[in-house]
Amino acid sequence: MFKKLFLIACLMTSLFAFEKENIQKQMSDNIHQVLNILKDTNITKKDKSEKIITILDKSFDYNIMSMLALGRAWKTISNEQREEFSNVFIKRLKESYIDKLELYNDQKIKIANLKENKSRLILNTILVGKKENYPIDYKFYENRKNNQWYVYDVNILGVSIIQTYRKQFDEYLKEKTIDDLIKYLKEKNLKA
Amino acid sequence: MIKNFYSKFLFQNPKKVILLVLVLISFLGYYATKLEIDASSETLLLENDKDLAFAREVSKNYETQDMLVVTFTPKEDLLSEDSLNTIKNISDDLLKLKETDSITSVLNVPLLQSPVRPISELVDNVKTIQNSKDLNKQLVKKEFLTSPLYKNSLVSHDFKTTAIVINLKRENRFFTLVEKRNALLKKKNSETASKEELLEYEKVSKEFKQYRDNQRELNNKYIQNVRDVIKKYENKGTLFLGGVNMIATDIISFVKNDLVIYGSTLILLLIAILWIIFREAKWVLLSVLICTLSVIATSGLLGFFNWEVTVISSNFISLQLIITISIVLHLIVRYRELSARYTNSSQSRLVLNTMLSKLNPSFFAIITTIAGFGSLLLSNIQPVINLGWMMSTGIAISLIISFLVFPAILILLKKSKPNKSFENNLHFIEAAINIVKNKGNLILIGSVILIVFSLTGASKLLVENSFISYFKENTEIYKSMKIIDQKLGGTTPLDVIINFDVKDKDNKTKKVETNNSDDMFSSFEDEFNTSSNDAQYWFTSYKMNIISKVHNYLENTNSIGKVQSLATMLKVGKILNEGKDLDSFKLALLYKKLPQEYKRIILDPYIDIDKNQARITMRIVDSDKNLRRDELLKKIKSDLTKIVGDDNVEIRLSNLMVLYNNMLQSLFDSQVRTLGFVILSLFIMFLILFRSFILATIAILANIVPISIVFGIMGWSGIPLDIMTITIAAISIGIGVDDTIHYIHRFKEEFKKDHNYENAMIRSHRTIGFAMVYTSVAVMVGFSILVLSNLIPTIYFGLLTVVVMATILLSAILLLPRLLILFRPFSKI
Repeated sequence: MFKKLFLIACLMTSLFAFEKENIQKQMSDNIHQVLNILKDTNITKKDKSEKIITILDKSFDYNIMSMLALGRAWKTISNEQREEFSNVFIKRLKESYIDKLELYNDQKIKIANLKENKSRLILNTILVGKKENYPIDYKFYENRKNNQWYVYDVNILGVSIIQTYRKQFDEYLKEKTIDDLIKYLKEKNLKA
Repeated sequence: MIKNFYSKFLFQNPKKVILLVLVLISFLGYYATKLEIDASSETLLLENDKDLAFAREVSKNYETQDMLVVTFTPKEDLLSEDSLNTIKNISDDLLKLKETDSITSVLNVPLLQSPVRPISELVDNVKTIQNSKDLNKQLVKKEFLTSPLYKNSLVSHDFKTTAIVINLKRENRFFTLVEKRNALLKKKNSETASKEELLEYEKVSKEFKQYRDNQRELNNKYIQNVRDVIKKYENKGTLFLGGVNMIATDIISFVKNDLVIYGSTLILLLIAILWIIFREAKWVLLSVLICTLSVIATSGLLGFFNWEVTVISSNFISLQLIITISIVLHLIVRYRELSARYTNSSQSRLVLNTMLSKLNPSFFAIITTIAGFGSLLLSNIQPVINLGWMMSTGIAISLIISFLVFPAILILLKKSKPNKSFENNLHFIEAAINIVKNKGNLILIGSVILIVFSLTGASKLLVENSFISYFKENTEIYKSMKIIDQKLGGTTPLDVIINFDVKDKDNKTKKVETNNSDDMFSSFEDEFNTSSNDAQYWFTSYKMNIISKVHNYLENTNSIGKVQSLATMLKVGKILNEGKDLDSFKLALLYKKLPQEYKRIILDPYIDIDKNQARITMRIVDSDKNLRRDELLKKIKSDLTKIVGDDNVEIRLSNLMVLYNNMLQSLFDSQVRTLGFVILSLFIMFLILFRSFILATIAILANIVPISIVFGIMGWSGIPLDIMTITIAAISIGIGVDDTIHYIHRFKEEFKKDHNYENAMIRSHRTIGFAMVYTSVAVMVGFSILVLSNLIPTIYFGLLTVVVMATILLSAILLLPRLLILFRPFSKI
């Protein structure tokens, strides 16, 4: 069951992912594109977000991210609920990622190195600040169906975006149902 | 046997007896120098209180520090160069003292909104007045006045006064000792302790006391040093030192002053009164000698047994003087009466008759007084229990000393004709006789009115303990407490502790078993599970919502001053985040990146990630006249239970506010219990003493009126029942009963002569009546001096004692004889 779903999820994913040997270069390009957009004072905030999202969409596997954010609860919910949850969550995720980018103000980004960890790859990048450097790590997994690598989590200063969601949803679901959670995320999206 | 003891031993060897007493008392006198006064909050708490154990646990977890607050109202503007320099100099001087851990002031708190900068920049570099040169003072002022972190706590709302908070070094040894002692005490109470453990318990208890004694000394010295520092800067503005620690120190100094000043003035006043009454130096000297010996002996015993004088027992000297004077005056009046009547009797015969005729009533008077004080043993509060023991022991000592020293000295002196000039001019007794004879109904009506007054007053009684109202308005501690209370966020600390995730619900997601076919999923799961308990992921919106809800509720509750919690930080974060709530991710970032020194201020006091717990601290506005502490705590508890009803959390209140309230409520319960107990045990004693049900009832009635008037006055005048005033009832019973017993005893004797109630009353009034008047007047004049004390409860104590003594006298000299005449209880004699 899960495998089938996984397959569907993977097929849904955009085909802009990376091959292992290109990760560094392509990510570097992507990041610089994003930085250029951020620096560009002629674009409205809304347009900036849209442009950045377009770039991110190439490399992020949102469906896997949704599944990971929900953790084991993912397996207990119906397909409809999964779809609905993924929709609202992906929206939320994009919003909050853009929000995090606002932490950026004119620092330089260095692409440090690509490390292999079990079956995953971690691309270390460094945001060079005036006083301190901030590590930002992109975590990739390999989709075995098409042998492409996708980002499934971003660690900023050692804080994992997906893990923060996992903890929140886990706590939320202790007291409430998945439908409540979907409703809650919808409301959050409306407010954003 | 007693007769033989006097005639065959004491009258033969009076000097030896005096010498023996003096030697014994000198031995005790040495221990009297070891008498300790402890007014710390520790002494007022219920040792077996679960809340106390919890409060200590909280204090240990959150590493709370004791603190003192210097309030500074500079002459110049608060942010002027001059004022900031003064704050810096004061801080530097205070940091030189070795007990100071750190100073928090406007100089070194993080400025987050001057100007508002993106969080990314803040994380990079936190500005303070001290570390930045180019600050915009207008913005800084605005931040101090509006930031949830600082408004109404670090600066007053009018921006004239600021707090310089001295954080004291934490004494971990205190907690180590308490834990060790309590663990052993638990075993001891459950009778599972081995011999070694019992010995260990004794050892640890001693060690703990020793430690506290040392700490007290150090604390006193430290506060003196801080005051010296403050003095240096008095030309820069108005400075006060305040804080919960100060309360104890100042109460101790006031109590010590009271002991010395009023103890000695009381003696001088007594000397004057005795001189006016008796006009003979020997009676004055004899009374003063016996009083002094009794006080020294009792103080010595207290020192010997290591019983500390606390706020509650600080009046023990005054009390002992009252009771001793009462014993001695009865003896003097009886002796004078006998020597005037039997002019031909020898001195030894006169003394012997005096002692024998007074032995029985005095003994019973003392036993009943001991019952009155013994009732205090029913309370749960150690200092109140101690007062019970102290007074019971003290009174017994007074009785023994009086019955040894009085005859031993008197037998060495020549007989003298008593100087009755005062008696002859005292028309009070004759007036009382007239009233009892001719206006009996008036007395009864008056008594009924008094009882009604008392009952209605008692229904208005408040059980409150406000420390600020302990002090006169001209004392430094009052002024500082008032400023801290009304301008800098309140005084008495209260915590709300939230435990998250209390019932780990059988979550359906837990039941999911992963199998091998899902190895992709499970490998992800494993990866995330390894880091899921990292501290930075603790800040979930579920928790933040709960903390904020509770925080906001408390902030909008009356009588609550400054509330601080993680929600304070969230509010500031929202301001910095363009009005958007900080999400869990940003909080995790802040947690990871915030420098340790700021974490200590902003996070550590409010969250315990390991325990999955949050703490909301607040201070209660102690000077709020409408504050009803017990009601407030109950309201908070029930409202919060509703607010977080479905959130799977547990809420618990803690800290001094709760502990004092527990103590007060327990005091009130024990007051009700003890009054019942005392009245019952007195009734039984009266039954044993008088062997007549009617007589016992009359005696009880004559006592209930003066006892109840204490509560009537307190209720009507709004004097709350607190740790000081609560002992007055027991004391007034103790004193009141004496008069009743002496009078009835005498009345019985006189009634035997002609079986005529009125004549018996007249004769009793003209003899024992004088002794009762003298005792009461001496005590009333002596106690009126307490009105000059710096401690308000002592003033109340003085005033109420004066009123009670007057009522007791009137009751014993008007109501009691009237009831005797009315019910004729002696028909069978």
